[in-house]
Amino acid sequence: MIIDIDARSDVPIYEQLRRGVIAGIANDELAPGDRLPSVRALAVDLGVNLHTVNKAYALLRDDGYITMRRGSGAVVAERGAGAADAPGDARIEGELHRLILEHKAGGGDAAAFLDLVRTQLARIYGE
Amino acid sequence: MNATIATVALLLTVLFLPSLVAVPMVLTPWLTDRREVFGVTVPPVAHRDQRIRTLKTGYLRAVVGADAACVVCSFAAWLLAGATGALWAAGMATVLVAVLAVVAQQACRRKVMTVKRERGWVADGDLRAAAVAETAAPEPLGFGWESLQAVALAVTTLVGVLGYDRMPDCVPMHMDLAGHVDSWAVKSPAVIWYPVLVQLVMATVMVVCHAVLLRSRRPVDPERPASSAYAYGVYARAWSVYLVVVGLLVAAAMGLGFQLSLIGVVGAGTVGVLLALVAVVAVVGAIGMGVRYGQNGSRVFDEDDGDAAGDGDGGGTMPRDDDRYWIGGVIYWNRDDPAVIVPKRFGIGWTCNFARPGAWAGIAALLVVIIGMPVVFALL
Repeated sequence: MIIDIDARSDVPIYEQLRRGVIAGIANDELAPGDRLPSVRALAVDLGVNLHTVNKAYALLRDDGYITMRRGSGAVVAERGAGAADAPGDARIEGELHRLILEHKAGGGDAAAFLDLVRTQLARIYGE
Repeated sequence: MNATIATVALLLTVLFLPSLVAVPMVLTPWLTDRREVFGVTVPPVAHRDQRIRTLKTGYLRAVVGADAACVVCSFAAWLLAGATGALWAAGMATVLVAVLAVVAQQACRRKVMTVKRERGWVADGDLRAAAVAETAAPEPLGFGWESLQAVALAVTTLVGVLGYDRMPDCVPMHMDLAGHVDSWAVKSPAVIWYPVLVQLVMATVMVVCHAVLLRSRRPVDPERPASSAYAYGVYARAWSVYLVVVGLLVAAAMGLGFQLSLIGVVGAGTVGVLLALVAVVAVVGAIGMGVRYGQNGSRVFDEDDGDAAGDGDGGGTMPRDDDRYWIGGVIYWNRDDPAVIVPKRFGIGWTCNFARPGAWAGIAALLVVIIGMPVVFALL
């Protein structure tokens, strides 16, 4: 799987990495048990600071997407592992709240927002 | 070693030494990554630009011309000053050709930057990509393979131990090109360690090269991530095989050959010819590898420049421009980059990130080992 980042984007690099790994897991490009590169290897390959990659991996671990073990490094976690649900869902709700506020502030209505949601669901789940 | 062989050896040295340097430097502009030319980041379409093509052929003519002039001068030196003169001239010519090629590259680089400005080749963003998890790309041979060097060292030691009785009381240590031995050592058990030491130094250099390959950043082109990652994997694996095989060959030939000549089994002249052959094989092999794979695997897939699969704009964009980190387009200096080893820009292989202290430490250690050997020899 390939991870892309844009070092000039407004989105911080650690966040781009986090989103990239999550997208990979969602798209089945990363399966449970797949080994991610070490922090140093990924930092070297992308030419970014070690702390940046460290932070991305720490966030992913805290949300339960990956596990980190001494010796075997970062590994994609099993789907639906207990820890994944609680912090992940809270963040999703928070971001949805923010997005809907923006949508409403721009004059949009609930039905239009649901259409946007359906479009994205179709893209990702392919229904 | 009679006069005819010495003459032939001299002729070949004079002819080939500067050319061995000139050939890879001349070929380089056609072997680089498709996003580089003369050490400048460009969109792939640049390789079809008429002015860039003219620069490439101009560079080729300049370096080939310099090489031809040097060979002629070496011959002249041979006629005027004999073998010694010819060897000195060939040696200096080799250095001169290298220097001239670098000067030519720098001149071409400035011109490319002018073309780049005029054509408006600018990178909008700073896009990067990396491969994570298992990919289809081949992996280089692991470091464990270098344990074969330890086996070869043991063999050289064993040959010395077993052949000690055959060793003459006055051991020839060095021979000049005319076949005369000009340096001797008195037989003692310590003498069998000289070839082992020589082999150890050679093996260390090759092992360090292998380590450098393994530690490097693995470049991925964000516009062709899968194919560029695969091509680099093929290229890195091929070079790791070369380093292990040729590394063993060179180190063992030097150590074992030297040892066999010390114990009197093989003549020193024969060993000299053998080593010259090994050196030629190594260099020609490296040039062949460079042509076959290109830099970073740029020649692994046959495709037109700028006509990459799925690249609708004909390769006219640049995901990233890091010219500012490359001094003269060839020396990498980037404090913000954790990589110590990165792929070269103008050339085949890898180079250091000189902003990282680790690079200097590695170079210093290597120099200590390489320079230390002759010094230790002289003292013993």
